[in-house]
Amino acid sequence: MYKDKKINVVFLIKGLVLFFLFFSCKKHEYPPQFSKAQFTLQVKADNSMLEWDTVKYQNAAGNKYAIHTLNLYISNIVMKTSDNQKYISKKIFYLDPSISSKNYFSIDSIPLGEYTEISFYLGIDSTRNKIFALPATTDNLNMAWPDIMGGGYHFIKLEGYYIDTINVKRGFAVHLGKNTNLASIKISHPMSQKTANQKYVLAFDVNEVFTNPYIYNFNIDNNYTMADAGAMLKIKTNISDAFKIYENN
Amino acid sequence: MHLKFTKIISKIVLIIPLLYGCKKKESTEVIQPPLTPYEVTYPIYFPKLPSFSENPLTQEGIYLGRKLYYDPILSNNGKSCSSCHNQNESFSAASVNSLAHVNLGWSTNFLWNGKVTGKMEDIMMFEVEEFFNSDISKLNASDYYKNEFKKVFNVETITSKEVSYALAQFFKTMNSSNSKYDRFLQHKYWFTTAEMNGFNIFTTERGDCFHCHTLGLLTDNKFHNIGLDSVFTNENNGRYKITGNPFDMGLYKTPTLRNIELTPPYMHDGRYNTLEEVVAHYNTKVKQSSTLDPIMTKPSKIYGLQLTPNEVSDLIAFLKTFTDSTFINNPNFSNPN
Repeated sequence: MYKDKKINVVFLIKGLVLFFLFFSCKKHEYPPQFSKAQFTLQVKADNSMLEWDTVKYQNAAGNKYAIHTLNLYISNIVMKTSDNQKYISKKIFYLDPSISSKNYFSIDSIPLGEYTEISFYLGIDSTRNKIFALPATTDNLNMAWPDIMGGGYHFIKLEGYYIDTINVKRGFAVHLGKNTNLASIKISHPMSQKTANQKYVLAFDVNEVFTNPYIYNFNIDNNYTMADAGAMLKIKTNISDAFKIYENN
Repeated sequence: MHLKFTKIISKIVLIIPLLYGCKKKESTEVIQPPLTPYEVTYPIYFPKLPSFSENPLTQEGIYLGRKLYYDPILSNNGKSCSSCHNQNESFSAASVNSLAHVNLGWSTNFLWNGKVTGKMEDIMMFEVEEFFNSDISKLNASDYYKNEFKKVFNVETITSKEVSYALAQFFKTMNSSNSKYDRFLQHKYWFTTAEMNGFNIFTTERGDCFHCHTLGLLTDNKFHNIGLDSVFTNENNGRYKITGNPFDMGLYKTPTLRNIELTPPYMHDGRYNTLEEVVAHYNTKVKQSSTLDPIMTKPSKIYGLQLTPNEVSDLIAFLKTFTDSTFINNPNFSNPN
């Protein structure tokens, strides 16, 4: 009996030792090979943070204006290294910078490395710019561009008020849509994806929409662009350099 | 070895009955039968119906909300929700110019000036606690409601919260999506010539209705000044009354156009009695103000759309395709009493 007890204790001790050996070994952690980048949209006017609903900004044409609404889509993001390695995200992001939960977007599975350029569409590419191609959310439905006018979605809605030639406050609605007005944005800026989660500011300067190369005047070029192909082309051309990237420290 | 094995087995045999042999203490609590989950169906061109995990939809909860909708017990003046919201008027009432109770489960802004924002449960709480100022003790004095609320929400004492939750469940089912317009979108109906012309006016710059009365729900759930007034007082300052933002002066919530044929009078103050008068407003009677919606300020159209008489007629023909007879006759929305 004594011998049986001794054998049982030995078995128990061996079992406990094995148990602790199994669970105490530290897992060998491998460094991450992919990272995430979060971009927060910051709206500016003349390099200052935009104050919504405030008639204090003046574009190059001399129109004093305020911004009331800004909704846009960003899609097909490409990050490029100096030796032309590319990371591509085909996701489509809806942004409304007046709402904190809708003023940023993230892309993940980005290979670690040093990137020198980012490009994206302001809008939705033609293969997906079709009504009901996006999930039927309230935001997406509110951005619908009628089929009879080209279909798909508004790429951007920029609305507000300006002071016209007879000093009356009047509305403006700068809407871009239709595949021919898809704006391609390219920004050269170092982006170091060296940790799991990098954060950037994507700054959008509203005044640039009305400045370069076309000096856009609401009184002359139209305060309402949607049915005006010429006006939309000017805005599309100007908007290509309205964006900048900064590290978000 | 045999003795050792026998000892182990005998120990196991002894332990098992000890583990499972104890008689459970009998509970005196009545076990409620499980509730029946309910899923709302709607077209693919509707957004996903917002859900609230604290108030999942059940058939029992929906029925309780429906009972309350038609019961004057909620008020202190003998009125119920249905007193001012008639099913055959798409749950509005001409007599009081009440907003229609249709597809509200998708709203996040409620009442003409957006006084209440949030989810369905929030507006129902407002209705119970502020609009009706319900005396909940009346519900607690009712055996029927005590039993029903116990069944649905497992409460011994009813509070405003459970009442608002029950109402919210019913409201989330009050959906209209079977009009000619819906069947057109689903390729089950083809518009008449007049209706098609009206559709084109509605969805192009000619009429430009779609910017606010968007696809599917026929409302963007936002606020706009559509040029009803040029001078603002405390009686017609709209959203400004809530936000204090001068840019919100005279803005009101976009109502849905679902069943619009059935819901006169129109506008926040009921100033228009017919769809012809409404279209006439947009056509030639838009009043200028500093907060007139940017969509309304197209060059050459700042005072209105300038539609021809035929175009007006066609637009109205199209507006009437939003009428859903199955909604106004659905027995699941009718008075259960």
